[in-house]
Amino acid sequence: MGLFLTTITDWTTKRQEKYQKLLYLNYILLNTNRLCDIRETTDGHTEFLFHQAPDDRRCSPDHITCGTSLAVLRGWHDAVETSKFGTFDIFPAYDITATPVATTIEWENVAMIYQTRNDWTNNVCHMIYYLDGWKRRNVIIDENSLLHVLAEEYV
Amino acid sequence: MIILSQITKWVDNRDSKQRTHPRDIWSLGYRWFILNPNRIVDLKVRGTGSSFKFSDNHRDRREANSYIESNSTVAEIITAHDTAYFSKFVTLGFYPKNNPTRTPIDTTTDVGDIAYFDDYNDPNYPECCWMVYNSKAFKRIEQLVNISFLGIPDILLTGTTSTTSTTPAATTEQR
Repeated sequence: MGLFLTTITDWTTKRQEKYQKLLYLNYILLNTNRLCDIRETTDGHTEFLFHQAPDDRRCSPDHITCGTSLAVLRGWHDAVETSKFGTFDIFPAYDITATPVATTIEWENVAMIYQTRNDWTNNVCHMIYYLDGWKRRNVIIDENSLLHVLAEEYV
Repeated sequence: MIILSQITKWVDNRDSKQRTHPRDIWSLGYRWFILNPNRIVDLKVRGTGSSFKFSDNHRDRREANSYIESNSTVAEIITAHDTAYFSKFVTLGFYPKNNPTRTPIDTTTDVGDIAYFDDYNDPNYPECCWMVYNSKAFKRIEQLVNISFLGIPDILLTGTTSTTSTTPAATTEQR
């Protein structure tokens, strides 16, 4: 269980944030523990319901179609992290000129990590994570690529 | 891993107050259910079996737990919970609108989101059973799936339904 790298074909959400429009090169890391009702599409990709806040009954799931096959999704979900915790350098107050603070978070609380074009230029990433069922946090972390985050989780 | 269990009593606050139907209790003394042990709390020894509280929707604090009495022992339930699944995802055929005459659609679900399985009572559709699962905290769903009740443990443990189940014959009589 953990993050997997994918490309987004379609993302329907009731939230204000339309992440699909923000993604640099259309790549994003999503957490497999947020997925429900996964179905294969005719082109071998998958569509599923994505619960950004799985512990909040008020939050309806998004519908996502992504470029990852079901077999690959299953592999990511069955993969074991090197630790239940990951350490991220988080910029205080969304300020990338400030000194980042190393913060340890459970991987299962991370909903998604992505880069906008500006993030890519500045060598940072956006991360959405949850304080369990209580609160949603949107932060900027000092990671220069999504692949680097994946490597930290599994290698 | 899930556990196939004889349930002698199931008291819940939902609309379905007769999950262990009086006919089952009268004829057999129990009804077969397949339960997910990740919903069980307050597991206690009761006679030769056990009693425990069971949460249909474990992420929703508003929902009270059911009270269940089972012929499965505490040790059997612990062993089941400690047994690993074949995969954390399981793919089952979902009947659209819970209609067994329609073509099922293969749908993959996290096994941790499944609460329990119950047999489908219509003998004309032996390859059907009810799966009760949660769309995370958002919703509880009762879904008719395209697999026999006895095939569930096999597919969750081995990924296929090729192995023979060892469930007592009384289950068939009950249905």
